[in-house]
Amino acid sequence: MNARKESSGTGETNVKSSGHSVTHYLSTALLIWLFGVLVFIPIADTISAQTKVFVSLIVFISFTILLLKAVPRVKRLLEVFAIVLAKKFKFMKEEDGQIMVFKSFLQIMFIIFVYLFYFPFLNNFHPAINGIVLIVVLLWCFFLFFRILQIIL
Amino acid sequence: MSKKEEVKNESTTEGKDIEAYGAEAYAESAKAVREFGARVALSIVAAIIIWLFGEMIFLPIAKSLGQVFYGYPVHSIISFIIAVALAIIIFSVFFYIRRLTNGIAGILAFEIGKASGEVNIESFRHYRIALDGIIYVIVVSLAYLLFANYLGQIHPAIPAILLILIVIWAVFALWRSTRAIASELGRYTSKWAEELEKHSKK
Repeated sequence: MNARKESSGTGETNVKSSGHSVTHYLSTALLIWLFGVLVFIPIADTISAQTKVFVSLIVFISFTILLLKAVPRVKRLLEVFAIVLAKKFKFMKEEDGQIMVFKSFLQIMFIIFVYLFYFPFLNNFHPAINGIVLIVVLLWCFFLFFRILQIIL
Repeated sequence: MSKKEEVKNESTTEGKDIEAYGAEAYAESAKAVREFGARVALSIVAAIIIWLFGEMIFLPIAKSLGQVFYGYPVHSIISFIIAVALAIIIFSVFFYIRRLTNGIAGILAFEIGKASGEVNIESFRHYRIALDGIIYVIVVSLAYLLFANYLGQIHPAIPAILLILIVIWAVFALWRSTRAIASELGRYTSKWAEELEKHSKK
């Protein structure tokens, strides 16, 4: 119960202020990603392979900085979302466990989304880097899925 | 006059002011598009024709000659001349392109503001900054495409360096654009956050 109070406490007080900056960081990251992947990287590809990697690196770094700035606030938003979902769809007696289930589920979704955004950059650097990151992401998702199963069963 | 009436009067005059401001900005933007649109379009057509002639006729001829002039290959010199001509055309209409993009951004901002039904001077300005930045990045990217090949003929490193500089500039331009639009989106997200808070408290 304490965990729920803690999570809802931090989430509720900060969710309003989080919204604005999260919107700014995420919308900038999305625009940079769109222009980078759809415009600048294809242009760089016509010049040379090195330019492609360099441009990918610039877009990758700026995208990562913005995402890292947004992640703590996104985490808080996910916590609040998990509480709302847990209250809406009750399928367990224990509310704490239910919140954890939804939190883990939302985390899996978020990790997959983030990986999909990184996919073009990682592939441009080297397909092997993309493969390694994919393995790490899959293991992480399995771990979270395992946690969900542990709570449910 | 009671306080309530005073507040009502103030809000109606403010509403009228905003409407008048929006209409004025729209008219100004439309005028800019009308005035500079034809000039910019003609310059773009001229730039494209020069680009086509250079790419299809002059460069292949220069390459087939394979001659060197004062130590420089002829195709590099031809590319340099065409790049300079393109630069003169683009930079001579640069001011008009800026006014035109401003005008287009103004029209779009007015339409978006009208559609959302919450037009105020500040949000109109935000929409304008946001759209201005995005349109500007698109225009610069398209202008770069005109130059890229010719600059590559002069030296392969030039288009790469220019592209890297454009990408770095674009990151900051987009950051500035979204900062303006984030305050608009923030109003909707804070409403949504309040709803979320209510749901989580229940």
